[in-house]
Amino acid sequence: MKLLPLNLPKLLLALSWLCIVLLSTACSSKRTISRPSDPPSQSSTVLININTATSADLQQLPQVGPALAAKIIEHRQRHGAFRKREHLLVVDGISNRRYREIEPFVTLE
Amino acid sequence: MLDTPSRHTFSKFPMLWLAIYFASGIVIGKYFEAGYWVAAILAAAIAMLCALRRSAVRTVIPLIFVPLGAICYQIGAQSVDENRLRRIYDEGRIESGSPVEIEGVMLGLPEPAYGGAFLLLRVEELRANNSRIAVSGKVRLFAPLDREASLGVSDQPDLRYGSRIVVMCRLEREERFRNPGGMSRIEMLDQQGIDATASIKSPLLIENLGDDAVFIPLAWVYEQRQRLIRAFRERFSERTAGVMIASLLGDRHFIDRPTAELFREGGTFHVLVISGLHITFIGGLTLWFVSLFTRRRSWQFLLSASFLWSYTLAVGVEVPVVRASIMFSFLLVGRALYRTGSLVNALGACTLVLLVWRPSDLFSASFQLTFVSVAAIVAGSFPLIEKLRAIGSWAPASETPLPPRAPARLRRFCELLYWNETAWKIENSRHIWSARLYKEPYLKRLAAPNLQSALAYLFEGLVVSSIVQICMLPLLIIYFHRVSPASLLLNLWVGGLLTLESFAAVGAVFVGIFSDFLAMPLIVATELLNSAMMALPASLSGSSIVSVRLPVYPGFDKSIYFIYAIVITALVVRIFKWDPFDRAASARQRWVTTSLGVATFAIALIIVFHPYSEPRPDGRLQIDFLDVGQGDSALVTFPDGQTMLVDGGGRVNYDDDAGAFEPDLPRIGESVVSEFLWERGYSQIDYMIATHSDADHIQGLVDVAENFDVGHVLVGRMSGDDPEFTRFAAVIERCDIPLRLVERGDDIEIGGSRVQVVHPSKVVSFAKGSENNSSVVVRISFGNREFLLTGDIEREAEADILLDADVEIRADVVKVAHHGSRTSSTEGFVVKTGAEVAVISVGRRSRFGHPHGEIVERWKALNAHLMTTGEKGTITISTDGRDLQIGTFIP
Repeated sequence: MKLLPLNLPKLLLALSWLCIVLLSTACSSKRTISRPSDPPSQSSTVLININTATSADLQQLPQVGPALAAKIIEHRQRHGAFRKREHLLVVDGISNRRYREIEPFVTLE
Repeated sequence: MLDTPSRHTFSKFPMLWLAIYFASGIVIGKYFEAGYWVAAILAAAIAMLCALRRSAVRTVIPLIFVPLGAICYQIGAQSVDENRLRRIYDEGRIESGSPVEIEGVMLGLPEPAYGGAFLLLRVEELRANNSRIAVSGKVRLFAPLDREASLGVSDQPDLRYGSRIVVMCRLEREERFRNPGGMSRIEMLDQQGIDATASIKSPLLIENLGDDAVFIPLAWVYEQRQRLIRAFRERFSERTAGVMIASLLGDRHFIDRPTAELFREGGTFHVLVISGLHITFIGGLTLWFVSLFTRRRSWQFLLSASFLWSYTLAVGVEVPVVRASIMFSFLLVGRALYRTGSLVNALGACTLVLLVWRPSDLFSASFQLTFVSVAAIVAGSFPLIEKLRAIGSWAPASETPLPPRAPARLRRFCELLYWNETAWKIENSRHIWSARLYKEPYLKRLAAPNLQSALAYLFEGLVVSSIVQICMLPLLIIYFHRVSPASLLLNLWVGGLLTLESFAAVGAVFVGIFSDFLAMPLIVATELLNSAMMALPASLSGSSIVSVRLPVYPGFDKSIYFIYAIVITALVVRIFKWDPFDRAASARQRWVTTSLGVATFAIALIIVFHPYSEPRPDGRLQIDFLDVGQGDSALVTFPDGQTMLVDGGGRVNYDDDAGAFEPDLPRIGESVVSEFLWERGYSQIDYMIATHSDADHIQGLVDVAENFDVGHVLVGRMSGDDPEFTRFAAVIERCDIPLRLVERGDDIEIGGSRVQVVHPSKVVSFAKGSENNSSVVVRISFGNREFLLTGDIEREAEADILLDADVEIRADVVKVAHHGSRTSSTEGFVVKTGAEVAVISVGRRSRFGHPHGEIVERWKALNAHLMTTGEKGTITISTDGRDLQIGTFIP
């Protein structure tokens, strides 16, 4: 009497194939991505607080001129203080590259 | 044989009728305010008609379903939660493009694309201007998550399905280009269920707060899909990988533009999108595979359906895929219950379910295309093929004792394809009676025994392909402005080879898990098949057999597409009802069918050759300044109807992606400028001026030159090494368009107006200044009115023009030079034009800060009415020589 409605030999073959495939996909290692780490603090230079700095202060940062400083201050005034340093990237005119140059010199405190 | 429905059933295709009634209700719900009332009246009218036929069922059903459709639509349209993102942006509570911080959960793994990945996020909280609000809705973000970190910093957040993240970005929900006739971006996003989008500059703006609990099997399915995408990219060439990832896994971001264009030209782009075809194929394959293990239909249904739905979920629950899966599941259920499902009925049921779920889908291009193509196949092609087969392979049987009635030629052709003499002889020898049949197939004996079935398959493929193309003709023109005659053949070629290639590719990936060596032959096979598949479209590319771009009839003339739809539906219904064995068929029926066929052909000819589609000349000179974002494009329509396009906009890529891969992104010349011209009804442009070779002026002209019949191209002085100009010149030469160099002093008379070239002059060259100073400047006069189009000239060129006493630049309407930049619009120049109206062609948020404040003030000081295309969309100014009428797309 057939208990299962399935063709047993073929089913076993298929299941073993499936197991092999699953095992091989499970065994390949997962890539780990390292988390962002804070840059070492520059104890020698004074860090600029992006939430309280004036235009003159901001212009001390590399690659930041009066126009960009004005944009940062305008952003602060319209949308509130920066919660994280990385949020500087949202300001028009600060590209990835420019941010990386500025990053070691800015702080929130 | 078609048996007549008994008096008690509603119809042979009840679900189809329900779907039709429901859909009518939706249409009423959309276009009429008091939808319910109109729906109720219409339903009552239908019900009265049905009552005349004395069927209670037929009376009640439309009475219920039509108003139901209207109600469902209106509920769907109104019930948007107050804190839903789209409502927040639509009501202007937050300005589109302003920076916000959103917290939400990822609805899948990051979808890999060229240069980064797309993240789909279910948003839960929004922080802006120091306040936090709980919100709902989905957003799609693009983040440059390049695994091959170009800047060498490993700061990629580990994102996966279920990750809870906070992102700081500028969410946008707005139309990019606002021109009449353009596709609404917001509507498209709504159809995809996306409330807003944003492009993030850096992964540093993403904070990962941890992972929420997710449905593990689903997460596993997503993971496998990602693995497959990676595996395809590793093992195959860029082009092959792109095609395979698109057609098997639903990610179109790895196909480059030239490849995508080849598919589009040939009308075979649908194979790159996971569609009903794929689902049918995969479902069928799964069913066959499962049936090797079990004969129990309930098991077959469970296993195939679960695999099919896992696949559907894996490739992203997009509506077209879900549609196809629902339809296949319906058929599977029918099979499991041992009912022979009518495909037409399944289509109706599926449509009904989908429309109840999302009533507004009825108006989406994707739904319409899917529905029409499936209906064409299921109600048109399959029945026709069945009848032809019945004609060809007829032998006396109890149901069909007498031969079919069909024209002799048709009969002979069907016998060629379907008459199997050997089989008949064998069968005849088994009967207790014998018969002599007089069959006259066109070729009595075919060379190879299997040639007949191969020929039959080919013919059936062509029939399906042609009927689908004929039924979809109006949709193809309205949505894609393209007709591909060669697609009849190309679909078979590409479809067949793609199937083989898919098998080879999947095989290569699986075998490659164990052994790279064994996978090599499969990889090679895949690459070869891909090259073969692309070879035919590539060789036909550019010729008009493959692709013809067509305009639509504007305005009221659009009704011709509805007339066509009605006629073709009537024809398909007639073919469906045709019974070649019905000896009582009258001559009148044949006459009706023939005249429907002729009418279809005639209307199709009108649609394809589009006589009188262009707007009739009204004796006015009109200039439309298009909204192409950052860039220029203006269409001049002369009083006699001739047209001149000055610049075509274009996207300027400031990213240094000097790689060979050109992603398949929409180009402004195609999706904005050409679209505008087609919606107006134009298929030819008399004159085209390329003012200079900046990409945001000339790139669009490349697409326009390819899509339209251009009479003449006028250019000024341009540098021969400029890559943009080289591309442009190559296209002009390929399309055989006469090119003419213009300079100061040239005067052309067009349609009663005078077009004077103001700049560049023969003499002076601006070696020091920028190339913008060689822009072509034209002054168009008609009657007492003048228009000045200035290109991108800067102060040096303006000074040169002012110095030349013979040059007149006084104008009523001036297109401000260089998008309102302070490099141009010098005081002297502005004053000398004495303009009444100043138009600045600039994007809504220019990354250069255009127009500059002081320039705006300078024009305003002249008391000129200043407008920008960014704010107003398309700006249309027309004159009859005396008056000046101004209209804008955004009032």
